[in-house]
Amino acid sequence: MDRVARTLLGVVVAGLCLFVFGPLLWLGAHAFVSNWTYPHLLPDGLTLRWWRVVLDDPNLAAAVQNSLTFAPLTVLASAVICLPAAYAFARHDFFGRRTMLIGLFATNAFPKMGLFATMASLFYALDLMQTVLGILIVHVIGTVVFMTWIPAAAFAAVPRSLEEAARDAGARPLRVFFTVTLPLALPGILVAAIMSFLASFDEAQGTYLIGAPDYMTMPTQMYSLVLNYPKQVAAVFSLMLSAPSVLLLLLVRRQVMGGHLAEGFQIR
Amino acid sequence: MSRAPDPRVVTEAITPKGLRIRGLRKVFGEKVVVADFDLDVRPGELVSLLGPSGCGKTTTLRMVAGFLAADAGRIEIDGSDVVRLPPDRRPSAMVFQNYALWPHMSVFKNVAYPLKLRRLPKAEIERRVLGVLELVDLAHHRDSRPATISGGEQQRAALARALVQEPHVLLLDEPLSNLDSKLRVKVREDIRELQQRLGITTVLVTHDQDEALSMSDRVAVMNDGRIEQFSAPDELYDAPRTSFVANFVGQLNTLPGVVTGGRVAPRDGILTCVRPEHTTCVAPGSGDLDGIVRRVVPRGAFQEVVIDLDSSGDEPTGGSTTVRSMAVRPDVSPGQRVGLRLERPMSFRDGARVDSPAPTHTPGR
Repeated sequence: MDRVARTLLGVVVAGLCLFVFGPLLWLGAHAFVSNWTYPHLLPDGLTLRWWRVVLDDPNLAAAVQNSLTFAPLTVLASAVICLPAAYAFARHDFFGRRTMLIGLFATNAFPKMGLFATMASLFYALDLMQTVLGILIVHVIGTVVFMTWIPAAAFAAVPRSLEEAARDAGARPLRVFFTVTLPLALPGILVAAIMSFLASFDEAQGTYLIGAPDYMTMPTQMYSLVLNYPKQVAAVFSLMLSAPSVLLLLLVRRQVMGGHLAEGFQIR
Repeated sequence: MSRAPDPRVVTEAITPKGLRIRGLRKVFGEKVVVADFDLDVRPGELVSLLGPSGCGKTTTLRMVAGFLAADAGRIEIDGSDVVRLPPDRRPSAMVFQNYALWPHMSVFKNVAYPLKLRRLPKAEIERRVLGVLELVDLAHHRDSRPATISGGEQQRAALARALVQEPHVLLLDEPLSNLDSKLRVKVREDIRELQQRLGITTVLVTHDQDEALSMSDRVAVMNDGRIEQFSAPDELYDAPRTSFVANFVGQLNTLPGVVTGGRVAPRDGILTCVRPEHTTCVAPGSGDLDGIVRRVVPRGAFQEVVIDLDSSGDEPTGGSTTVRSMAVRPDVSPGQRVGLRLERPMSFRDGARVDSPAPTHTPGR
């Protein structure tokens, strides 16, 4: 019985690993092989040629540059817009608070393409098509939910008595926010920023509709890559596209797992 | 009593007038939480607000600190009315029930925070913080994060953060409730000693009568947003003016009537109350009442004898016909008939004392 259960577990785990790592392995292998087609079991040879193709292509280089510009800009704009809202949601009870909190999901409730098509017609009227601002708006809209909900939870988790203690010690409200509330909510805000960065980095549909062909980012460039280049180039580009995600997630793993908020505070 | 100021904490030269509260009022919705509350705390005095949860004691303290706006009344600290000032501009400092230490700062930074706000020179901040950390015996933990020190140490760090502000009034909100019972006794003595040494005017909020009696110069027993009695601890215990105070501070046997001729006789709603330690087991027939021992409960240093009184035939009107007697090794066993001698009885009608409170032996203070 025990052996059967163990075997079953092994099979499930192996299947899961194959499911998760299989495509990555396939991708990783293709980025370094010269040619690997049916009916050959093994690739013809190893090469770094495809990486040079990607790095030398001015279109692709521009896409990388655009992506690395838009993502941080989006995070910044989103933070400026959403963090004050998050604080208000966490600390104040105002008219329509719940409705607005739920309403934020509206951007995620509609089919993306329909939303973007409607936005495009609006953007034509406002002269925002093919502009940096237009793309930025599309990206920020995709991050509003993360950037409001997660920091709101983080702000709400800061015990009020910690803020009161700072007031009691002689700090004005703004100083209380910057010396007590913000540092304690920072892990949550960081997580929201990372998720916003990745959402912006991966955004393709809206960017394509609003920005193409003047502003191509890495995800929008993927569309033409898949159609017009050998699949090894697509593999190389995919790896480059996933590199920031993996790096960032590794970087904040401790913040996400640890949650040092409760530390030092007696929550009973 | 003269108290030499501690040289490690320099107090500003002010004419101390203590804390004076007049007509303080707070209403939440329909409920009057604090009703026309008056209180005087003399300079250097420790006054406890004692009462059950929901009696308004914490609300009162939070109004003094400035976290809650009063609906009416004045709060004067050393002569000036602070009731309209925000908490950061009041000369009071509070020790929170959960200590409210900032987890992202070291003990030193926690204590230095109030001084940094006052833009004091770095050297002076360092000197004063170390001085107060030494005072609470925490200098060795100056670089520790609050999470890494014990509950008692966190409590002392919170106290240090309040003391370093040299408050005109120190506010303690159930400061011992998060400590285990052994530590609680030690810490309350430490706090009291420090408070007396520094001569700080202090208001302590607690629901624990032991804490209030053992730490305070005077205790204000609160009920339903009002002060029931404001007295020195001994007087509160020996001469309670209401049955609420008598019941809340210490234990009480409440008899449904007047003790006369060996029985309890009802007489216009009067209840007779006797403390268990003034209820003594004697030979049957030789005391004020007779009864049968139901249980003997060991309490360590003493025993508690639970006695069912002989039925007087009348329906009891309030009170109870079971009494408790506290004695050191009483020579009784369950089922045994005993007599009871009642000393220092108190009479209440509708909650108010109707006999004159017995003179109390108040030690010179």
